[in-house]
Amino acid sequence: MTSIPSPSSGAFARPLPPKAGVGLKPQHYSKVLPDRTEDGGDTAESQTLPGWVEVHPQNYFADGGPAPRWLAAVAERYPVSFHSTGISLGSAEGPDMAEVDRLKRLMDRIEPAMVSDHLSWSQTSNHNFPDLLPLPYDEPTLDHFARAVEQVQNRLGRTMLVENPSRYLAFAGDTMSEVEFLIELCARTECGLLFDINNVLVSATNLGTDPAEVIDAIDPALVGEIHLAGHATEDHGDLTMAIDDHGSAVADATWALYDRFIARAGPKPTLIEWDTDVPDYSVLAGEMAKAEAVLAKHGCSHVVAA
Amino acid sequence: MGVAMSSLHEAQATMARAILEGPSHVPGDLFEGSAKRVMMAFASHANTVSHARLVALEETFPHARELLGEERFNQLSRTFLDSGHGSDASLGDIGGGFAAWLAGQNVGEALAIVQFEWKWLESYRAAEALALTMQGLAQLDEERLLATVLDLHPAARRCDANAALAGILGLPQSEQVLLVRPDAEITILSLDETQNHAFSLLEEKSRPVSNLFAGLSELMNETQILPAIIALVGAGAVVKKEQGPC
Repeated sequence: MTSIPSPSSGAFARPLPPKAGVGLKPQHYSKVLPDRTEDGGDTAESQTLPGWVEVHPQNYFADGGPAPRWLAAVAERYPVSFHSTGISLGSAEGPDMAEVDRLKRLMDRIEPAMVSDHLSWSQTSNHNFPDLLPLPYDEPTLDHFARAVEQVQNRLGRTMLVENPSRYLAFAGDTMSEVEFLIELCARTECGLLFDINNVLVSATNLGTDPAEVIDAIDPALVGEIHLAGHATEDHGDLTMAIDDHGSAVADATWALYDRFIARAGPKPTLIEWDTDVPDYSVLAGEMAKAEAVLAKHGCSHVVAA
Repeated sequence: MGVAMSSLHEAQATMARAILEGPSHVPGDLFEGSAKRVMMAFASHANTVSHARLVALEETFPHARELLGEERFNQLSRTFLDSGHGSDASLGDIGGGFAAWLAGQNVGEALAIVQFEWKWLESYRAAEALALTMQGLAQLDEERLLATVLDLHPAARRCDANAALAGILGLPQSEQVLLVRPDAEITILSLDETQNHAFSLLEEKSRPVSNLFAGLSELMNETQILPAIIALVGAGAVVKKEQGPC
């Protein structure tokens, strides 16, 4: 494995390119940070390298040590997106501002291109659930959630992306669709969307809705980043549950929805997420190549239009 | 009961209770769909929460798990979590109280392994600092050397050791081991009695070298003092504490 990099300073901020990126795992550090050749090029095949990387910032909150050093080294080479799982934007008590402060400190050092969290909640006053739990889609919750996003954006000093969740439950009192909730949230707070297309399929499977309707209803201008991942399905006799486990290849149905969205939206930064049973890097590179093919297929017309 | 008539706070408290205490607490009228679907959804969330916490403990204490065996470790982990420990912690910190809780569980030599693995994680995450080196000390004349204030490096940790831990680490058995991370990598060394005394004095408070010598002279032969300090400095366990303006 590549030796742990020495600390370095420098401005890292670069926008996410409309290319395929990868959710970075420690076992793949040496794959995305190949040794440089004498002329400064990469020794690895450039087509296997990601266009950008995403990390869970909570994994790098340490005061020092190897993890922050790796992240700094990665950020020198790639545009980085921070995908937070710890703010709990939808908590009734409000977002976890201590966590936001930790995030801000890391952002000051790394200057990520994007920062995001989820349309969900994870914390009560005395419990911290390692899960993304659903929120009702109604006006009081929208008011509450929009205030939380504004509070976090003000503390971070920048706008953020909010990810559509995978849902196993819909509330009986919902008064608006998820798309309506998200669009209104963006309008009120100027946040953007992290559009997770696997989550669209998971929610549609569990709640009996039409995923294509969701794909077609999202305004591409709001989307700053796309997530693609695999999911599991459980057969319970008369009902099927889709489980958002990020533990397998992107499903064919998800690729089809992605193609449908990119055909309308044009190329967008697209992440391959794989968080459980993480495979060899070559498998992730194969998934990135499939995403690149979709981006290339729909790229030209949008370049001309631009 | 729709959420519009309830509060978000009540809805989340209800959901938290259902996840923690099981199916009988799942609210039947808060969600759309059949009772079976709602039940399955809560089972999925409860499973995600439980699985993530158990995996976090496994990943924090891999050697203790190996020593205890998978089944015993998982049973202890479940009991620890089911009794409410770590419920408000992030996954990275969930193992913080595991050693203290295990002390009452009759786990034998595994307790020292758990304590060591938590100290290892603390050292791994600790702040960067420039460790004092022998070359740095050698540049000082005697007066400045004796006035130099020493402190423990933020990543330096000491841990009780036993035969099982020594075997895992491939070190000769000693009563204590030292974890240091003067640069990026953690290294682990056995501590002898004199080094242990020196570590204790620096752990108590930062001290000028002269004071450290005086303190150690009450505990050991004078010929042992310098080697003990050199051993800690050479390992990267010590930093020079900068003095503020008078």
